[in-house]
Amino acid sequence: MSEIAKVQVNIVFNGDNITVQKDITVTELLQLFEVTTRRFVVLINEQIVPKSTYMTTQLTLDDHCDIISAISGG
Amino acid sequence: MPASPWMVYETQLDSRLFIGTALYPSPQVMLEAIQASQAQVITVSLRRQTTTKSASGDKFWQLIESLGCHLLPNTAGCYSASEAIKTARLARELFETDWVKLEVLGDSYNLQPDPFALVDATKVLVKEGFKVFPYCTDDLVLCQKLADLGCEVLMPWGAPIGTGKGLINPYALETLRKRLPNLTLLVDAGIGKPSDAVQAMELGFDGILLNTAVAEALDPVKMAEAFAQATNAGRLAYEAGIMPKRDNAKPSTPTLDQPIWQQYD
Repeated sequence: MSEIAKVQVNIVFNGDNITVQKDITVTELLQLFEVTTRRFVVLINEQIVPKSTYMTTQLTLDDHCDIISAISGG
Repeated sequence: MPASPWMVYETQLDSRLFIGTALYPSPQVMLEAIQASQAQVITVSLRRQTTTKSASGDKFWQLIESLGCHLLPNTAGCYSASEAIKTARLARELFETDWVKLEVLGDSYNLQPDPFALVDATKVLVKEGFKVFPYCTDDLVLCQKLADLGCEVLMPWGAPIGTGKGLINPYALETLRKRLPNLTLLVDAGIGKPSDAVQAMELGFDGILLNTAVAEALDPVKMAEAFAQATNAGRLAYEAGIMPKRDNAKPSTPTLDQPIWQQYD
């Protein structure tokens, strides 16, 4: 197994399969995908991630991470 | 003359019109229409972002923030109590409000609320501290049940969402008003024209929630102004006390001492 394979994992981000650095934090993932929306909620495996834990919450293999944001509604 | 202020849960409002943020021809028209409506409460929703569209949610949020209105997030598109509960929890986190317009649909043809799932979801959300605004049918027993569960506000439909058919069953709505005199009642959905709003308000409803009738008008801004006036006029009429209907005609001009009475004797 190559060195790269050891340090990368597959996760599902907003419905897309992506490969990221192992143990990437939510903060790092948001920076990586330039999520600049001011108001959003992060879900990992359908659980809300408290904003105060973005820097310490890490993603692991096959995690599903979703960004929820505001849209128009009636 | 503005109608009297009213309370929605613990919040005092002057405008009796709630308005949606969807379907407008452009964000700018949405902004101007909402301002013209004088609404103090606007409905919003939430969705999962795609990786390539993160900026669009931010643009919408900035527009909404600039209006300074109270936000009423909905659970649109949910067909089960569990989906609606999950969406409500996300909405509370996202919009930082306990208010939720609880929609649990039961039929995809007329988007009729599922009364059983609505009750199930309401039970859970009220226990979690939500201020639930259930979008419901005009069924009296359902509405009584929702009130018993702790809903201070109910939002029965006038007609199915987006149809513009007006008040399909005024009798049912009038009955709700009579039987639930202490609840805050809004007609939500089905309003097509300002006279529909007047009719609901004259029945004693406390407010109106609409979206399509304004957003899909040829001139949404002008229509929003029309609905603002209609909603206020209907409420003023209700507060003023509408005369009872009667079968026999009654002259409005006094006939006593009429100088020409002899001619017709």
